[in-house]
Amino acid sequence: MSEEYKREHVFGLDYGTSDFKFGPIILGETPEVVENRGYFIDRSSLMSRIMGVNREIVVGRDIPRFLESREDLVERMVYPMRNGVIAKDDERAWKVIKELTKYALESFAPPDEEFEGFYVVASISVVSPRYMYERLFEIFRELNRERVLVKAATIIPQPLAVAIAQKTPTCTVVESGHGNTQICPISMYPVRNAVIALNRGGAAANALTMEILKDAGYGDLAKEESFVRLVKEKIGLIPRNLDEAIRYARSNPEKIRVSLKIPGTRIKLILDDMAWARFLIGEFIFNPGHEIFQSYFTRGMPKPSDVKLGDTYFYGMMDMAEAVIASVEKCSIELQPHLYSRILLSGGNFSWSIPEGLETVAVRADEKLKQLLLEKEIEGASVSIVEDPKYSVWRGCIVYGYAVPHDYEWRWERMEGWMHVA
Amino acid sequence: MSRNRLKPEDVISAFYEEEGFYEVERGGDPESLYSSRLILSDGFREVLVSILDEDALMSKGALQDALLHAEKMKSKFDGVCIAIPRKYAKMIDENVMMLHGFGLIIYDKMGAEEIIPPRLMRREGSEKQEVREQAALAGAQEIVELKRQISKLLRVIEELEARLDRLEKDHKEIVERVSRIERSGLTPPTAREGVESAEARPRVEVKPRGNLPSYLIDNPWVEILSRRE
Repeated sequence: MSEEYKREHVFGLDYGTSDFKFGPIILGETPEVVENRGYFIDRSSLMSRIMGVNREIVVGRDIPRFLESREDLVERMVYPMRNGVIAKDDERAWKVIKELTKYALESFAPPDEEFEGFYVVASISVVSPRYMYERLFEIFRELNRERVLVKAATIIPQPLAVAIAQKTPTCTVVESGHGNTQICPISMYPVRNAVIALNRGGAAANALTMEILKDAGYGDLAKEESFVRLVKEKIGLIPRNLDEAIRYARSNPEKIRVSLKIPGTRIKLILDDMAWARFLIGEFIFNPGHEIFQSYFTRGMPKPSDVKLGDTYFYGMMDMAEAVIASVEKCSIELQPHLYSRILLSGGNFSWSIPEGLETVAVRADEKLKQLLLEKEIEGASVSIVEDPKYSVWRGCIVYGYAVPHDYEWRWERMEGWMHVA
Repeated sequence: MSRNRLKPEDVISAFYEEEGFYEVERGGDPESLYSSRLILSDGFREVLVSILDEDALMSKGALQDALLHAEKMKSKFDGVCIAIPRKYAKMIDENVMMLHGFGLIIYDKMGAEEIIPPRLMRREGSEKQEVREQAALAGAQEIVELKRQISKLLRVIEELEARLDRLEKDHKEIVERVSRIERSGLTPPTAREGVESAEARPRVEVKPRGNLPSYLIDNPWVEILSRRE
C-alpha cells in the first residue's frame, strides 16, 4: 500500500542555477518552471504598506508585481543557486530556497485528508557540500510544522538525475550551467571521487561577449547582463578549429557578419569587422587557455581562477576535454572505455546552433568535445547533447522516486535513500 | 620554500570521513592543557578525538593529561579516541587502552590509522537490540508471507491438475475423431481455411502501459533503483 502511495505522490524539485523546476509525477512529461530567485520586499516602503504586504520574500510568478527600481533590484533580488553552491551562512539565499520549496509543494498539495505528504526527490549540484543536504532536509521538516507536505525526502546529484532521465546506467555526464561545469562519471551510482568541477559556465562566456561588445563600440550596452546574454546566444559560434575559423572569417567577411535587432527596442547591433570574434565566444567555453584570450585577460577581463568551495576545487582554465579525461581516469581502467562511449552534455551552456552556410567552420557542442578528445588521443568517444535538457533533471528525480523502495532509508555514507521527515 | 602542510586534524578528519563521519567541531580543547580536539558524528553517534602532537608530547605530563581528560569525556560522548604521532605509538599499551574503552589513532603526514576502535557506549547497545527486534519482526512477517504464498501455490497446483485432466480428455477425443475421419476418407480443412478464419477474428488491441510518462517506460534505471536495499 505504501509503495503504491509513494508512486502516486512522487514530487521532483530541480534547484537549477537559473530555473527551479518542480512538480509531481502526475504532470507527466514537463514540470512547472519558475526562475530560481526571490525578491526581498521593502516592508517599510509606502507601497507595500498601502498594498498590505506582510511577507518578507516573494518567489515564483508573483515577482514582477512587486519589483521596484533598478537599483533596488540589485540589492533585493537574490539568485541563491547562481554558483551551484550556497554558503552555509548565506541566510538570505536559504530563505529563498525555503520559500521556493514551499511555493512548489503548496501548489500541488491536495486538500483531502488522505494526503500524507509527498515523496520529494530534490536535485542539487554534485559538488554541493554535506551541509546543503542537511539544510534541505531541515527545510522539509520546518515546512511540515505548518502542514505535512513532505512524507519522505531524498536528495540526488543533478548528473545522476540526467543519466536516469536519459536511461543510461553507465556514462559520463557533463552538466554546464550559469556559474560552473560539473563532470561526473556514473556507473549505477555517481562516482563521487571522480567528479571534476570547472569554475566557468555561461557567465564566463558572457564576460567575454561583454569585452567583444566593448571593442565593437557597444560599451554602453555591454553593462546590461540580459543584453549581453542575448547577444551571446544569438551570435556566438563554436569553431571547429579556432585558427582556421578566424582565417575563414577574415577571407569571407560577408558570411560571418551579423546584425541583431533587440525585440521591442530601437537597439540594433551590427558586427562587421569584428565578426570573426563570434568564434571566440564558443571557444572560450571549451578552451580558455588558447593564446588569443591572453590579450583580453591583459586588458582586465576576469580570468577564470581555481577556487575551493566546500571540499571541492573548481578549476578555472582547464580545457573541457582535459577535464573529462581527468575525471574518467579517476575511475577503474575497465570502466573507462564505457564512460567515453557515452558522454552526455546537459545544461543551457551547451545549446549552440550552426547558422546555415557555416557548417564547415562551426560545430555543435557535442562535435567540439568529440574533436578535442580525439586531439588528446581518445578515439571512439561518443558525445551527445541530452534531449530536453531543461527538464532532464526533473524527469530523473521522478524516475528515482518512483523506483527506489519506500522503505529504503537514507544513509549518509551512501548519500541515498528516503529520509522520513513527516 | 613554504608549503601548506596538512594538520593532524586534517588527516584524522579525512580518515573518519571515509568511515561515514563528518566533522562537527575542531580546535583547542578548553579542558586540556596539551591536546586539541576533533568532534565527529555520523548522524547518530558523536566521537571525540583528543589529539596530541609532537610538541605537546615533549612535555612530561601530556599523555597523562590526555588520558585523564579522555576518561572524563567518556560520559559526554559516545566514543573517545586518543590520537598520537606514529613515532610515539610504542609509548601506549594497546591492552590498557582496550580495557578502558579508549580508541587509539596514530597518524603521520601521510594519513591516519585506527589501531583500536573506540568502544561506543551510549547507543550501540540500544541499536543492537533494535536491530534484533527488527530482524525478529521481519522474520515473523516473512513466515506469514511465505505461508500465504505456499497456500496460494497449492491452490494453483490443484487448478493445474484439473486443467491437465480436462486437456488429456480433450486430446483423447480429438485423436479418436481424426482416426474416424481418416477411416471414412474425408480430408481435414486446409491450412488456408485456417488462416482465413484467423484473419476474420477481430484484432486484439495492444493497450498502452498505463499512463506512465515516456521517460519511465523501458528505463533500465527503474529495475536498478528498485533493487536498492
